Amino acid sequence: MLNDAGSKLCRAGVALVAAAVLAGCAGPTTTSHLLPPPPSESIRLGLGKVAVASGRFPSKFDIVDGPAKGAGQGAARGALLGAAYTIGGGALAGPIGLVASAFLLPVGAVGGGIIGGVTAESATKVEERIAAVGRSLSPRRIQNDLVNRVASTGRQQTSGAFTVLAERSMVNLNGRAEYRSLVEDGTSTVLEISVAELSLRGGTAEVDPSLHLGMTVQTRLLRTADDAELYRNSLTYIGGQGRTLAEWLDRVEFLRAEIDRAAEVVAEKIVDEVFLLVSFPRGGKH
Amino acid sequence: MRGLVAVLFLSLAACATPLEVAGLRPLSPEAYSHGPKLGSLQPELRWEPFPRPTDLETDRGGWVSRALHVTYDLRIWRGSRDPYGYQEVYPAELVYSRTALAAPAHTVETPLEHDTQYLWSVRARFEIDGQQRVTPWSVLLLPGQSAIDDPRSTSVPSRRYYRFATP
Repeated sequence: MLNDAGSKLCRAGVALVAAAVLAGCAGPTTTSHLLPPPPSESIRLGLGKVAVASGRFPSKFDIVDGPAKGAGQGAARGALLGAAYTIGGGALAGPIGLVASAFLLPVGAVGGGIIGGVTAESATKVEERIAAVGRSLSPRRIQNDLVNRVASTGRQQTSGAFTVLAERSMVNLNGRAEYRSLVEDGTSTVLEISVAELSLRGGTAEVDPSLHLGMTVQTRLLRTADDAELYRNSLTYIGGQGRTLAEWLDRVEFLRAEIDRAAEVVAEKIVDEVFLLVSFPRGGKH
Repeated sequence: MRGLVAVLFLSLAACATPLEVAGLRPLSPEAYSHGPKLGSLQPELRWEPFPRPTDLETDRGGWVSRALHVTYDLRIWRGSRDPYGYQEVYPAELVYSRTALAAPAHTVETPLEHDTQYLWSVRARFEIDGQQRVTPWSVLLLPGQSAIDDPRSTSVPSRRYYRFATP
């Protein structure tokens, strides 16, 4: 009977720990979308001269799931973490440890809550840091750099002719981009690049989480003759280097280097997808 | 509990056999989730040539038969621990890159670092009707992988490049 109960508790504990681990390891929210197939060869053959243009840009740099703001948030996150560690540690010790950890759960939660409450920085201080990181970066410049890099990669990797359009030079009175006038100078296609999101992302469970760069870039291929959309995709760069908000702020040059790397990776992927990539035949081995 | 044990054994068994891949399959070192430790800082990497017999079979009269001047691109990244834990290695820094290699094999020309995890990938580069084209970079396919690991994921860079470790 006791064995049966222990076994059930053990399963429940393992499931709880697995859920906690998965929640903690999930990282930034990523869409489950897959890339659309690359443009068809008939579209590619008709591209001609390509102008790379800057689309809409984000108004600010975001921190998503960043550090706890104040003792209240810190205590809440610390309590959750304390409880999870107590159950997790107990589950590792087997059924008896799991039963013991169930009794110790409130202790872990309270302990974690106290630590979280003490270690969390004030909301004002966190907000100041977020604002300081935001001031040190210019999303508009980041987008323009990306546009230039896409054009440069296109020239290196393909035989196509790539030019860069002056920022927002084609916006009409309604704020919409119109590229029809480019037909006159022989530009038949526009590749529009928009940095849709630029953020540092962390995990909600931690008091002062490690934050990773996230950059989402939307790409549209447009025919200038009628502004028809020939192709679109969205890419999200997820950085490998994680630092706390304070660490990123102390070494803003590291953040700039990470953004530079993101732009390089994304620009190359855009050129691959739009101009170069062919999928293996269907039915073959991928 | 028996189910958990079975899953554990299946996982261990999966570690012992080369994994499925998307793209050109590596011949040496083979495709394992945990990169094998190699004997040299300048390893020879080999992969299957393009087009593969299956490509020609499944694309009779299609673009594969029109692919000319096939060469290969190779990249090697220094790996670091993946930030989100559920994958182990992240391509932290591109340390070696070769374009238009004539053969599906290459001996790394500059020594890599000692005792370091690396990721690597290859793709075919060729011409179709006079236009430069490439196949996707090759990656590992793991059973039960998440959307972020799918070869067509919108997330970059891929965490599923082939792996090896230096001595």
